[in-house]
Amino acid sequence: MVPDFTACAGAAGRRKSTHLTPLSSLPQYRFILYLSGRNAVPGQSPKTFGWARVAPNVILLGLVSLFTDISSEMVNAVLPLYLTMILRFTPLQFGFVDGLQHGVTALLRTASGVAADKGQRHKGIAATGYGLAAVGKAVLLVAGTAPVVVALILDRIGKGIRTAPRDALISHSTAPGRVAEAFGVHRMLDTAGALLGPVLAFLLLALVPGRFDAIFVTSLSAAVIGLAVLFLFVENRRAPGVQLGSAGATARAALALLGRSGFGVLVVAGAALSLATISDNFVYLTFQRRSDLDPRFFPLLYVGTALVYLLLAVPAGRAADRIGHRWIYLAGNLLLLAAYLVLLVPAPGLMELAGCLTLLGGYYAATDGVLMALASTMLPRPLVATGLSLLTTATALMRFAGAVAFGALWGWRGPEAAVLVFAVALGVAIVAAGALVPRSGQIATP
Amino acid sequence: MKSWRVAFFAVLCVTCVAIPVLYVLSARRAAEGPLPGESPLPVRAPATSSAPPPAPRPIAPSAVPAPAASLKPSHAIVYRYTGVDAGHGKLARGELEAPEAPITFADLRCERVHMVHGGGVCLMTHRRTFPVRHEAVLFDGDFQVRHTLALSGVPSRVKVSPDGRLAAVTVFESGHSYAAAHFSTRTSIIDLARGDFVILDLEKLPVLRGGAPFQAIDLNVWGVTFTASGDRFYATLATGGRTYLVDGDVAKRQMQVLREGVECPSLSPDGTRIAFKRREAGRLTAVTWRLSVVRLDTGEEWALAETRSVDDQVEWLDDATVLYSLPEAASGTPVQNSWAVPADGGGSPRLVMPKAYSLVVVRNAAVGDRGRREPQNEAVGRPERRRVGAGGGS
Repeated sequence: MVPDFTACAGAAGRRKSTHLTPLSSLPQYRFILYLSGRNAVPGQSPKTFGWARVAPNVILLGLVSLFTDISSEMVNAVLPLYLTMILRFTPLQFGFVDGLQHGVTALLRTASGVAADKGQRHKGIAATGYGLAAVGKAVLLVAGTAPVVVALILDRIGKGIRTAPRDALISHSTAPGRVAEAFGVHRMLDTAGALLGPVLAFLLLALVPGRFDAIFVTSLSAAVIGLAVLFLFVENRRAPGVQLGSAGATARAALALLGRSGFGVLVVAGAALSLATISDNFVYLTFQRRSDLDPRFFPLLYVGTALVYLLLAVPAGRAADRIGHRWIYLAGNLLLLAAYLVLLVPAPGLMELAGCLTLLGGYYAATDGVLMALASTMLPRPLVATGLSLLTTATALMRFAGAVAFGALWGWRGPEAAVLVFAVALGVAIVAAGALVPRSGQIATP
Repeated sequence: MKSWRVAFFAVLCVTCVAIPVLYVLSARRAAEGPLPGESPLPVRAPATSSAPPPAPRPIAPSAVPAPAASLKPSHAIVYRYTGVDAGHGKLARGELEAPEAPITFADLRCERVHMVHGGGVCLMTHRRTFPVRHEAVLFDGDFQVRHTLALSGVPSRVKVSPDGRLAAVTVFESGHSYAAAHFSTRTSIIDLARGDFVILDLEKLPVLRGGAPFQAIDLNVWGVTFTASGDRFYATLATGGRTYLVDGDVAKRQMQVLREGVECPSLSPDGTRIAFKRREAGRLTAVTWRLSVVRLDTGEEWALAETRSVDDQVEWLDDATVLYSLPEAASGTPVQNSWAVPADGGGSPRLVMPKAYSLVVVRNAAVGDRGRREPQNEAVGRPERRRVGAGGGS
């Protein structure tokens, strides 16, 4: 492995023609960063792997996400039981809340991105988001129907608020040549939390059957620990080289970002790819319909996907830093396309299932954090949170629209036809994105 | 500067671990109930029953069919005991409005149960496994397990056909409900003698509406009730936020839509009326259900005197009265109490069995009479005999 610093310097040296190149990715600036040790990563030796390469701030943010996800997912895992057994909710009500939160968080995401960039208060805004989720858990303890809806909405709103500033903070805490790896580490910890949460919840239900309050107390505790890590240890990082007064983050600046050819194209491409994405649940459901899979294994499908995601997040990030973010991002979408094709295999069996879950996990590993890394290196430093929030708003809305469209297609023509249509759409989107999405202005194999 | 943070964090972590651990320990102690020689631990006082029933007397399975006096055939009741003590979740039997302590069975812990005299189905959840396993346990007239079938989700409803041949089981599919906010149900029909599924998923059957195929995505079927012969059934079909009453045929494997707005139907013993829950309230506030009855021949429909929201598939005590369960408090308690209300819309609800959920009126008077005298060997695996008197009060 070639030392990254040299590699990046060489690459940026060759490619600094793009007007989007952020200051920090210029070789001379990065060299200063490296010497000052502020954003640089210890362990430049080619043999150094693992944690030491990633900034402590990123690992701390990963731990915040880990605890928060334990907290959220342990509640989500038992929520259907709780709502139906204790509170007597209907699917319709739940669906309504689900739809509502999509709309509300879309607006909040953008607002929180702008707010975080204004004055570079990433930590403060992210803390508001994590705090709201914790408040939601506290509300759950005072059970009753209305509080559950409030808690769910608070949790989702919190997620909408915290995502962009947190990802900007990850980006600002990391040397540009390693952004995708840093996102990979964060997503790995995040997914680990999402896996541990349900395990903990079912362990608790095994210990004290029917006592959902025990789960809520534990969930609140995990949320408080996550919040404490954020408050006590995570450092707020301004975008390198940005003076407070100079940050011109406004709604107008956010719109102007879209006008910038490179980033605008990325948002459109990301949105198009998201629109052609079949949501996990529909993938699992399609598989189950086509294979007569033993329904007992159904919950394990999610676990399998998450496990692959967790294992591949960091390697995919590293690969993205070396080969180029957009290539890995596109390769990830090709994995998704391959997963669709597996779904269309006649009479799929256990091998196909394993293949499908691996492809799906790989898709998440190669796209989720990598897209953020790609975008954050394209954006002007003072507006990273704003830009990321725009991008996640677009992809989240399109994902939702895609799910609705897939459901409608399924009802109209059946699952096979729906998958086929989505496969064609995804193929077209990948080709178009491959042709149009610009490089991130850095990084290539030397 | 940094050291006080670490110290503060350490204290916070210890607190945040200690609180859930202590909470769970205390919850476990409360659930374990009184140990021999100890005074009973305080449990939630019942809000509705006049006199708190004493702790259950566990009895050995061999002694199951209880003293003869308590087994009046028409009113023999089996249910899930929901008191917060060692007997929680166990099958129990007793009489309506009888003040004595509930008698719980040793072996079966059922989330939901239904049976006739010859046997029935107990829906079980094994909470000590991961992932949690759900099973339909088919038992005979002596409550001995004959077959065990794996279920794909959280148990919700079960009804055995009056002739004892078939059972219908509804579960919430945990898989669908995990990441997305939507959950869905699966309803299967089981042959009790063979111990296997006859129809794995009712929602895959063709559905007719006014003679034409009724197609929809996100179709859900739940809450089956069988006719006396067991060949036909009624059930709830839901799609696009609406619920319908469907009439299904087991042999022909098809269903047809009868009317809208019926959830969790339960056919009266004489086969003329269906008791159900009617959805009353809106989308953001909690849905409430009003117990109602509809005549099958005229379509005439009326609400019952129970004004609280009931989410249950009711059980008919006889042709004049329905039984159902309600949680003891608005939330946070696993305790359910069972109530009765007249089926004609008059009268008022009365508490008939505290701490009882999933009440079953164990029908079949002929077998029941015999069962009183020689309980161990009767009514096992003889469906012809069990058909005698099927349909209870009819």
